[in-house]
Amino acid sequence: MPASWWRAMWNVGAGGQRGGCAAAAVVALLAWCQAGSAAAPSSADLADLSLEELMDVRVVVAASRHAEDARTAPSSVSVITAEDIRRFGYRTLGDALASVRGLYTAYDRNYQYVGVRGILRPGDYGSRVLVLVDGFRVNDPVYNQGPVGGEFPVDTALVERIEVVHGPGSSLYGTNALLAVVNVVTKAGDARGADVSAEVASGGTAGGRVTFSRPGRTSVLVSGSLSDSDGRTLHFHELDDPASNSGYSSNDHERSGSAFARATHGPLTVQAIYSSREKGIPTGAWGMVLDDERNRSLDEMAFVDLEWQRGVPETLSVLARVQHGAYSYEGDYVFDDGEYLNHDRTEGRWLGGEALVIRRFGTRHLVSLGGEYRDNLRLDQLNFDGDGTSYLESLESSRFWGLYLQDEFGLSDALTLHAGLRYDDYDTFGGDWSPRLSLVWSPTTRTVAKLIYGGAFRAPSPYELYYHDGMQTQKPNPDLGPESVTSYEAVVEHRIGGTSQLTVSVFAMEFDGLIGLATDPTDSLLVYLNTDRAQSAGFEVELEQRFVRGCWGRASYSYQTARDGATGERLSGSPQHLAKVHVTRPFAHDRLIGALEVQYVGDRPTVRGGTADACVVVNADLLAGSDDGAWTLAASVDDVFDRKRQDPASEEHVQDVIEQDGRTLRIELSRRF
Amino acid sequence: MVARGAGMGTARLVALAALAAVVALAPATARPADPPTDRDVKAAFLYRFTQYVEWPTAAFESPDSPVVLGVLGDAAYVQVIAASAGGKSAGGRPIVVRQLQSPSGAVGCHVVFVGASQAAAVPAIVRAVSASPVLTVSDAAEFAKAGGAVGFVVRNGKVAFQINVGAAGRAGLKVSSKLLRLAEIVEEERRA
Repeated sequence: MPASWWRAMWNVGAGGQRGGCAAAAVVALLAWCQAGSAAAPSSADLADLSLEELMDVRVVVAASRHAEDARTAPSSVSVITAEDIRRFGYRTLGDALASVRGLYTAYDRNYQYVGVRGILRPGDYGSRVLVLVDGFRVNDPVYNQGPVGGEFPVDTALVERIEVVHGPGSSLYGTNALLAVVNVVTKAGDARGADVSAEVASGGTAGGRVTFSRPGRTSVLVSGSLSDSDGRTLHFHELDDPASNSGYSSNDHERSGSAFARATHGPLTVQAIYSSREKGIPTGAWGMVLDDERNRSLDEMAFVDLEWQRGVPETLSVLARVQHGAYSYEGDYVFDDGEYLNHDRTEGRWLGGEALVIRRFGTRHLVSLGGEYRDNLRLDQLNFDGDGTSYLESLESSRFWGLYLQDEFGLSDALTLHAGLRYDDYDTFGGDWSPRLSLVWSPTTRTVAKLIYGGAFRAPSPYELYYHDGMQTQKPNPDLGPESVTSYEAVVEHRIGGTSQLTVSVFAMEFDGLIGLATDPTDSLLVYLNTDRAQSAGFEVELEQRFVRGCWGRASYSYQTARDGATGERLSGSPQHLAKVHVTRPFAHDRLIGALEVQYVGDRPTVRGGTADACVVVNADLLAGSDDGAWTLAASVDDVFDRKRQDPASEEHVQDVIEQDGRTLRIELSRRF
Repeated sequence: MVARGAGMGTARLVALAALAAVVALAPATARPADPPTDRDVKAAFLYRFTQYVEWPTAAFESPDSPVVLGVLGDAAYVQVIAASAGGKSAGGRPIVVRQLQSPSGAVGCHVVFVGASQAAAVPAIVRAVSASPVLTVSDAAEFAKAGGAVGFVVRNGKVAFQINVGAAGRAGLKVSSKLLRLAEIVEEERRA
């Protein structure tokens, strides 16, 4: 019974006064890490040592993070490297994800959402994609939103790589892993020094970052970022009325800050993250006064994560982690000519832990056994007016645990079967099973073919379960069940020569019991129900090529049809065609590197029966580094041709589509010390 | 219903994060002697190698042309190497460290170092400098066996190096016997 095992773990780590004891434990561990560090030879005068002496110097090698790699299930995986992020100047996780085959984003000028395989349901808060930082879940506990915009808690400059596992991932990761799992791996901090950067951009944007890192027996990385943007002045023709400022709104400001700290000593890593992001809501959503700067969303997140990892994945490795996190949301909304203020206040607190053992049995089996426990101590949702009238006071808590087993079974030299199963148990709706079977065949070293079957689920979020507005227009539904998907996929990856790689993927997905807002005919109130069904099928083709003289390119095309299971109509927000081209090329004897990104998003039906037109956006970047690596200058023009893509809006907007930023100039200067 | 006091306040959480950072950072000042990383030692080796390798005269434009050490790797690695070898001299020539943005920049260098993070660029580098007087060095796995001249390996917590004598010879470089004596000599693996 895993629950008792976990309980025992809590008793050791967190006892009765959980927060305080956990804090004490973390500090004690850090202190212990220090005590363990023995004196070592100075690195100052290494250059004076002879060859023989150098060969005798004992060194520390920057810690690697094998456990995540081992967990990466046999799926179709795309990787975005730090180099890609630097060269293409991606500022948000969403911007980086939009470069991946089959993925696209929508931004309603409040939050950015990511769509996968034609599924981006307006109003789902991105809860159908699981986002991890270094393997731990960062979807918030109340809306279960996968943060990919300015509210993502880690600066993209600290990202070593982003692993995108296409398709369902619940057999390893549990809830929310319906469409994809995005794991953001942060930099190890394997170089001593400081890194300072400053940037300015169109839209009155300024920002900066300071990062310190110190490798060694106890390696440390500490970083802080701040950004402030005035945003754009937008015009919405649907609201072009003297009563609503003739449709103009300039409440598009965004202010964000984040702090990141990590210390690693041997098998132990402690990581702390804090982020805060305020965004003006400029669109008059939910009938707010259009251009009132008091309309805003404020999201804050904080995590402390302690991880212990030992062994080699090839024989026996063990990973255990405990985490404490907090999330808060403040929404301020102004109605009726500014006379009437309404507020959302949301608080979430949780304690969680997981453990994973990977062990080889004989020569044919590599078995992973893992478990996860999460105690959402606090899930508070309040809604009230400026005069104190309360509409909602939902104070909840919840628990779930999951247990999974996966076997990688070598059937022959060329053929491997991966079989995995996970069981999740929720105190709200009960249990759910998530299977995955995949057959990986590599007839030559150049070709890999995969057949993948998987099932995944998403548990209803506390927002969907309990939110209401005082029963005026919306009522809660605590009886909601999970929604699920069954997916079939075939992938072929083929290397051509040493310079090209071709990937072809064909998929079909069937969604059942999708949670959506519906009207209850008995009382005409809106309520979340498990009524929607949907299908998505399509294919993706990607070619990556290295050219002579350091040039590199990647092109992808995706075709997908996502339809409503009842009506057979194309789902709102879903494009049938996606095409992307990425090219980099060095210039001026390699002192400059240029990057060009072209993204085509096909037309997308909107919630109100209209269409968001197909659009091509071109982004260009130039990167210059000084010869000694101390200075880096990055300049970019996003949306070079000022096409201002229109993204489909969700139901709370009067607008059919929301205009994106047009041409944006950005300059960033970095210095290493 | 949850006991509200059980959760940890955001303020406490931030304070804890700050405390963790301070505690972790404390040794930076308290303990003067950090153990060197593998990168520090490899950078020191790179400088030493320039003392034990002879380039053909034709590799330099003039008698006072510098020895150019190109680095394909992250900026932090470039900096460690620049700190170690930059400003020093080899055979009376000043050593200049330069960051490379792509494998094609290797042409025109005398030493090219490829960081392990750029392992994907190894075949391109080996091709780009084949038959040029360039000493290729890397800490990417199996570098010397893949056609590079010198590959670093970490054994028992110490840095050692492998030399592919064939590759160094083809580049027209004369490697001193002292360097060869300390190295593990490897041969190129025929690619299937």
